[in-house]
Amino acid sequence: MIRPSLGQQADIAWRAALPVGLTILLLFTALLSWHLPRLGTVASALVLISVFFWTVHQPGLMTMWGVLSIGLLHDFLMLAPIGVGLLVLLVVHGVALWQRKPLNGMPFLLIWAVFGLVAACATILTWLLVSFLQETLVNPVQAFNLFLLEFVCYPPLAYVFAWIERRLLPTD
Amino acid sequence: MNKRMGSIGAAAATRSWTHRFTFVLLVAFAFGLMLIGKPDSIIVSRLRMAVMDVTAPLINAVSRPIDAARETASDVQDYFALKAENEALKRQNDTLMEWQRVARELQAENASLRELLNFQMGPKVSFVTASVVADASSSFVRSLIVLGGTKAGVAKGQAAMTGAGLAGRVLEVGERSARILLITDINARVPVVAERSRDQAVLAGRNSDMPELLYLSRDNDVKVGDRIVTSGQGGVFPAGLPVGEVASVTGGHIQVQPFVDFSRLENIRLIDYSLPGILMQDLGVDTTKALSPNNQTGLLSPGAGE
Repeated sequence: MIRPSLGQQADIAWRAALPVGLTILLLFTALLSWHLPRLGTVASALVLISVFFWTVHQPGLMTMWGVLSIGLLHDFLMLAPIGVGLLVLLVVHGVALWQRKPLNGMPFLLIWAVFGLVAACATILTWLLVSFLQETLVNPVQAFNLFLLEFVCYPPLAYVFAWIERRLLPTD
Repeated sequence: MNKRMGSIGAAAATRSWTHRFTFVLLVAFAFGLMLIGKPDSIIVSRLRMAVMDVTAPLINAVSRPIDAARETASDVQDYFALKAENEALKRQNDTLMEWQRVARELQAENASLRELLNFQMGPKVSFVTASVVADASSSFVRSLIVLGGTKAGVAKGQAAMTGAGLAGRVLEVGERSARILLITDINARVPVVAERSRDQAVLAGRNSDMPELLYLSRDNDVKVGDRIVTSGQGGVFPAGLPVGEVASVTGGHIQVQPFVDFSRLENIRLIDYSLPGILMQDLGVDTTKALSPNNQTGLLSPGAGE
């Protein structure tokens, strides 16, 4: 058996780390000082889309450990009640993994609709958890804004992710 | 052959169950984290500040080219607007000179009145200017990360101000970074007073752009356009810091438009008013005696001057 060279190993490693790395990069990029209001909402939306997309298309590279690290980093940096983002991302990962096979055979519009449903449930769950932890009903309009952002951002991001997947990642 | 297939199937099933079990464990871990973090847990706070201490300088370093590009674009814009701006500044300068004259008169009057009253000055405030490295505000939280921590003299509870007014307060401090809770956050409560009518209230954030006034008396006289300033009650902020302007009064809901434009925060002043120490230490006199009802000598006493 031929062992891969160090260069090949590094090549395999960075490609394998791409989905999780890209998600963390998106989180950081959205947090940079762009001086635009409430970029935290954008960061949360980007992370959720990324976790859903890569779980459906590259589940071997978006593992639950990857989701754990993304979720923890998200919660520490976003300064929201800790654990909420992690839990919601884990649930989204679980659902996407469970429905992965039927989702992979669907046309894009249908996948988008399913994502919309998952994002809506995730937003409601986040809203309920934050309201419970803060012992007050958080403004639902803000939660709706988050959902809307996730839903609208999905097609362009999915397009970019799909391009990256075709170019840089091995077929599953 | 069948035996081998069977053992492969059993291994796959075991792997699948292990995977599911680990997943459930992680979900339980997330729940546990939520419950540990619910009260202001010291462990969570320290962990969070440790992560922020590492990431804040990184985010700041990456942000520099963006800031530079934005500044260059702004410089070009400024260059084209130079003439109009110059005229506007000249007009503003005339107005400010008049204000300066008024301020000098008031300063002199204030000094003589203070002398008359034997007024004891409060301690001088100290402040640290910190740059905003990340706006971590989202649908469920309104806060900022600033580059400046205990090493720079930042401490929990300090007021976060801009030239326009009060932005929030320091909630958590690390060695090199701090977390600011904005006055628009749902957890923010600031004792305030309407400058014109002197109605006392509590400004409560709602995670939206406009916080609300709570606990106003029924016969309040707050109107749209009234300036809202801190009342100094509760001892977190001193009295008189500008907060915002009443934007709407509808059906018992009074919304306030903060003076600070939260979308344009670049630098923020973290001001230490040393409030808890004012009465007992900073004046250099034993004020407990002066505040005592039996005291007949201090000016703070009702019996003074008899």
